[in-house]
Amino acid sequence: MQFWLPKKDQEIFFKAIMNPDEPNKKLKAAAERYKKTKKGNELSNSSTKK
Amino acid sequence: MNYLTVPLKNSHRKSDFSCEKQLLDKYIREQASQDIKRKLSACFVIEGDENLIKGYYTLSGSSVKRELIPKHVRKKMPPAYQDLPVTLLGRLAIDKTCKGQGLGELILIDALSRSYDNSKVIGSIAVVVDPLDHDAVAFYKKYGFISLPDSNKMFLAMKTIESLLNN
Repeated sequence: MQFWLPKKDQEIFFKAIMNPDEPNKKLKAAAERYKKTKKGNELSNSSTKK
Repeated sequence: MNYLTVPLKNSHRKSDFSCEKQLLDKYIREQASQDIKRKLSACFVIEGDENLIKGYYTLSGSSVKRELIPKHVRKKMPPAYQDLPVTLLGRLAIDKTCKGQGLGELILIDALSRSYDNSKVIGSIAVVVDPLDHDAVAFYKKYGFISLPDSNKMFLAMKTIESLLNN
Protein backbone atom coordinates (compact mmCIF):
# COMPACT_ATOMS: atom_id res chain seq x y z
CA MET A 1 0.00 0.00 0.00
CA GLN A 2 1.37 3.44 -0.87
CA PHE A 3 0.36 6.91 0.16
CA TRP A 4 -0.17 9.72 -2.19
CA LEU A 5 0.05 13.05 -0.36
CA PRO A 6 -1.02 16.44 -1.74
CA LYS A 7 1.81 19.01 -2.04
CA LYS A 8 0.96 20.93 1.12
CA ASP A 9 0.83 17.67 3.11
CA GLN A 10 4.19 16.55 1.71
CA GLU A 11 5.83 19.69 3.16
CA ILE A 12 4.22 19.19 6.58
CA PHE A 13 5.07 15.48 6.65
CA PHE A 14 8.72 15.74 5.72
CA LYS A 15 9.36 18.82 7.83
CA ALA A 16 8.11 16.87 10.87
CA ILE A 17 10.10 13.77 9.94
CA MET A 18 13.32 15.78 9.63
CA ASN A 19 12.67 17.80 12.80
CA PRO A 20 10.52 15.55 15.00
CA ASP A 21 8.60 17.10 17.88
CA GLU A 22 9.03 15.94 21.44
CA PRO A 23 6.00 13.94 22.63
CA ASN A 24 3.34 16.21 24.16
CA LYS A 25 2.22 16.13 27.81
CA LYS A 26 -0.90 14.06 27.12
CA LEU A 27 1.07 11.43 25.25
CA LYS A 28 3.69 11.25 28.00
CA ALA A 29 0.99 10.91 30.66
CA ALA A 30 -0.69 8.14 28.64
CA ALA A 31 2.64 6.30 28.30
CA GLU A 32 3.17 6.52 32.07
CA ARG A 33 -0.31 5.15 32.70
CA TYR A 34 0.35 2.38 30.19
CA LYS A 35 3.54 1.35 32.01
CA LYS A 36 1.73 1.27 35.37
CA THR A 37 -1.22 -0.69 33.96
CA LYS A 38 1.12 -3.19 32.35
CA LYS A 39 3.04 -3.62 35.61
CA GLY A 40 -0.24 -4.16 37.47
CA ASN A 41 -1.26 -6.80 34.92
CA GLU A 42 2.10 -8.58 35.27
CA LEU A 43 1.77 -8.66 39.05
CA SER A 44 -1.77 -10.02 38.98
CA ASN A 45 -0.77 -12.61 36.34
CA SER A 46 2.23 -13.81 38.36
CA SER A 47 0.15 -14.09 41.56
CA THR A 48 -2.49 -16.08 39.63
CA LYS A 49 0.20 -18.47 38.35
CA LYS A 50 1.41 -19.15 41.90
CA MET B 1 8.62 -6.86 24.92
CA ASN B 2 5.19 -7.33 26.39
CA TYR B 3 1.95 -5.56 25.67
CA LEU B 4 -1.56 -5.10 27.00
CA THR B 5 -2.97 -6.59 23.82
CA VAL B 6 -2.87 -10.04 22.22
CA PRO B 7 -3.31 -11.04 18.57
CA LEU B 8 -6.95 -11.56 17.55
CA LYS B 9 -7.93 -15.25 17.79
CA ASN B 10 -10.90 -17.25 16.50
CA SER B 11 -12.05 -17.75 20.09
CA HIS B 12 -12.54 -13.99 20.63
CA ARG B 13 -16.21 -12.99 20.61
CA LYS B 14 -16.02 -10.64 17.63
CA SER B 15 -19.78 -10.50 17.08
CA ASP B 16 -20.32 -9.05 20.57
CA PHE B 17 -18.03 -6.07 19.93
CA SER B 18 -19.69 -2.72 19.44
CA CYS B 19 -18.12 0.73 19.49
CA GLU B 20 -21.22 2.28 17.90
CA LYS B 21 -19.33 3.09 14.70
CA GLN B 22 -20.72 0.79 12.05
CA LEU B 23 -17.54 0.61 9.92
CA LEU B 24 -15.36 -0.39 12.85
CA ASP B 25 -17.89 -2.92 14.20
CA LYS B 26 -18.34 -4.49 10.79
CA TYR B 27 -14.58 -4.67 10.30
CA ILE B 28 -13.82 -6.68 13.46
CA ARG B 29 -16.88 -8.90 13.00
CA GLU B 30 -16.52 -9.70 9.30
CA GLN B 31 -13.19 -8.61 7.87
CA ALA B 32 -10.36 -8.66 10.41
CA SER B 33 -9.79 -12.44 10.43
CA GLN B 34 -9.71 -12.57 6.64
CA ASP B 35 -7.20 -9.71 6.48
CA ILE B 36 -4.99 -11.54 8.99
CA LYS B 37 -5.17 -14.77 6.94
CA ARG B 38 -4.21 -12.83 3.81
CA LYS B 39 -1.37 -11.11 5.73
CA LEU B 40 -2.81 -7.71 4.83
CA SER B 41 -2.84 -6.52 8.42
CA ALA B 42 -2.33 -7.63 12.00
CA CYS B 43 -5.06 -7.13 14.58
CA PHE B 44 -4.50 -6.86 18.33
CA VAL B 45 -7.14 -6.84 21.06
CA ILE B 46 -7.51 -6.04 24.73
CA GLU B 47 -9.19 -9.15 26.11
CA GLY B 48 -12.01 -9.00 28.61
CA ASP B 49 -13.57 -11.86 30.56
CA GLU B 50 -14.90 -14.83 28.62
CA ASN B 51 -13.11 -13.84 25.40
CA LEU B 52 -14.91 -10.53 25.04
CA ILE B 53 -13.03 -7.84 23.14
CA LYS B 54 -12.64 -4.54 25.01
CA GLY B 55 -10.80 -2.82 22.18
CA TYR B 56 -8.79 -3.49 19.05
CA TYR B 57 -6.41 -1.97 16.55
CA THR B 58 -4.82 -3.00 13.27
CA LEU B 59 -1.31 -2.42 11.93
CA SER B 60 0.15 -2.83 8.48
CA GLY B 61 3.14 -1.70 6.51
CA SER B 62 2.81 1.13 4.03
CA SER B 63 5.03 3.65 2.25
CA VAL B 64 5.30 7.19 0.95
CA LYS B 65 6.61 7.52 -2.57
CA ARG B 66 10.01 9.19 -2.93
CA GLU B 67 8.91 11.58 -5.67
CA LEU B 68 6.50 13.10 -3.19
CA ILE B 69 9.37 14.18 -0.98
CA PRO B 70 10.23 17.86 -1.36
CA LYS B 71 13.61 18.35 -3.13
CA HIS B 72 15.37 19.96 -0.17
CA VAL B 73 14.43 16.97 2.03
CA ARG B 74 15.19 14.40 -0.68
CA LYS B 75 18.81 15.62 -0.80
CA LYS B 76 19.26 14.46 2.80
CA MET B 77 17.86 10.98 2.14
CA PRO B 78 20.02 8.17 0.68
CA PRO B 79 19.09 7.66 -3.01
CA ALA B 80 18.71 3.88 -2.55
CA TYR B 81 15.37 4.39 -0.82
CA GLN B 82 12.74 4.65 -3.53
CA ASP B 83 9.85 4.67 -1.10
CA LEU B 84 9.89 5.62 2.54
CA PRO B 85 8.42 3.04 4.91
CA VAL B 86 5.68 3.98 7.38
CA THR B 87 3.36 1.99 9.67
CA LEU B 88 -0.37 2.31 9.13
CA LEU B 89 -2.47 2.24 12.29
CA GLY B 90 -5.53 1.41 10.25
CA ARG B 91 -8.29 1.09 12.84
CA LEU B 92 -8.58 1.63 16.56
CA ALA B 93 -11.79 1.12 18.54
CA ILE B 94 -13.02 0.62 22.10
CA ASP B 95 -16.17 -1.31 23.00
CA LYS B 96 -19.03 0.94 24.16
CA THR B 97 -19.18 -0.86 27.54
CA CYS B 98 -15.58 0.21 28.26
CA LYS B 99 -15.86 3.89 27.30
CA GLY B 100 -14.80 6.45 29.90
CA GLN B 101 -12.12 4.18 31.40
CA GLY B 102 -9.24 5.67 29.44
CA LEU B 103 -8.76 2.48 27.44
CA GLY B 104 -8.43 4.50 24.22
CA GLU B 105 -5.14 6.05 25.28
CA LEU B 106 -3.83 2.74 26.63
CA ILE B 107 -4.53 0.93 23.39
CA LEU B 108 -2.99 3.83 21.44
CA ILE B 109 0.26 3.56 23.43
CA ASP B 110 0.16 -0.21 22.90
CA ALA B 111 -0.10 0.35 19.14
CA LEU B 112 2.75 2.89 19.19
CA SER B 113 4.89 0.51 21.27
CA ARG B 114 4.37 -2.35 18.82
CA SER B 115 5.04 -0.02 15.88
CA TYR B 116 8.25 1.23 17.47
CA ASP B 117 9.44 -2.30 18.34
CA ASN B 118 8.69 -3.40 14.78
CA SER B 119 10.63 -0.42 13.39
CA LYS B 120 13.75 -1.83 15.04
CA VAL B 121 13.36 -4.93 12.86
CA ILE B 122 11.83 -3.43 9.70
CA GLY B 123 12.35 0.31 9.21
CA SER B 124 9.47 2.77 9.52
CA ILE B 125 9.71 6.55 9.78
CA ALA B 126 6.21 7.32 11.09
CA VAL B 127 2.90 5.96 12.30
CA VAL B 128 0.12 7.16 10.01
CA VAL B 129 -3.62 7.14 10.78
CA ASP B 130 -6.64 7.82 8.61
CA PRO B 131 -9.21 9.16 11.09
CA LEU B 132 -12.78 8.06 10.45
CA ASP B 133 -14.52 11.20 11.74
CA HIS B 134 -14.15 14.40 13.80
CA ASP B 135 -14.07 12.43 17.08
CA ALA B 136 -11.11 10.41 15.83
CA VAL B 137 -9.31 13.57 14.61
CA ALA B 138 -9.80 15.17 18.04
CA PHE B 139 -8.53 12.01 19.76
CA TYR B 140 -5.30 11.79 17.76
CA LYS B 141 -4.74 15.55 17.90
CA LYS B 142 -4.86 15.43 21.71
CA TYR B 143 -1.85 13.08 21.66
CA GLY B 144 0.20 15.22 19.28
CA PHE B 145 -0.53 13.59 15.92
CA ILE B 146 0.15 16.06 13.13
CA SER B 147 -2.66 16.74 10.64
CA LEU B 148 -2.18 16.51 6.90
CA PRO B 149 -5.18 18.66 6.02
CA ASP B 150 -5.34 17.98 2.28
CA SER B 151 -5.34 14.19 2.63
CA ASN B 152 -7.15 13.97 6.00
CA LYS B 153 -4.39 11.75 7.33
CA MET B 154 -2.49 12.29 10.56
CA PHE B 155 0.87 10.99 11.73
CA LEU B 156 3.47 10.84 14.46
CA ALA B 157 7.17 10.62 13.59
CA MET B 158 8.83 7.38 14.78
CA LYS B 159 11.55 9.55 16.37
CA THR B 160 8.86 11.18 18.54
CA ILE B 161 7.63 7.71 19.56
CA GLU B 162 11.20 6.62 20.26
CA SER B 163 11.69 9.62 22.52
CA LEU B 164 8.40 8.82 24.30
CA LEU B 165 9.20 5.18 24.98
CA ASN B 166 12.87 5.53 25.83
CA ASN B 167 12.54 8.28 28.44
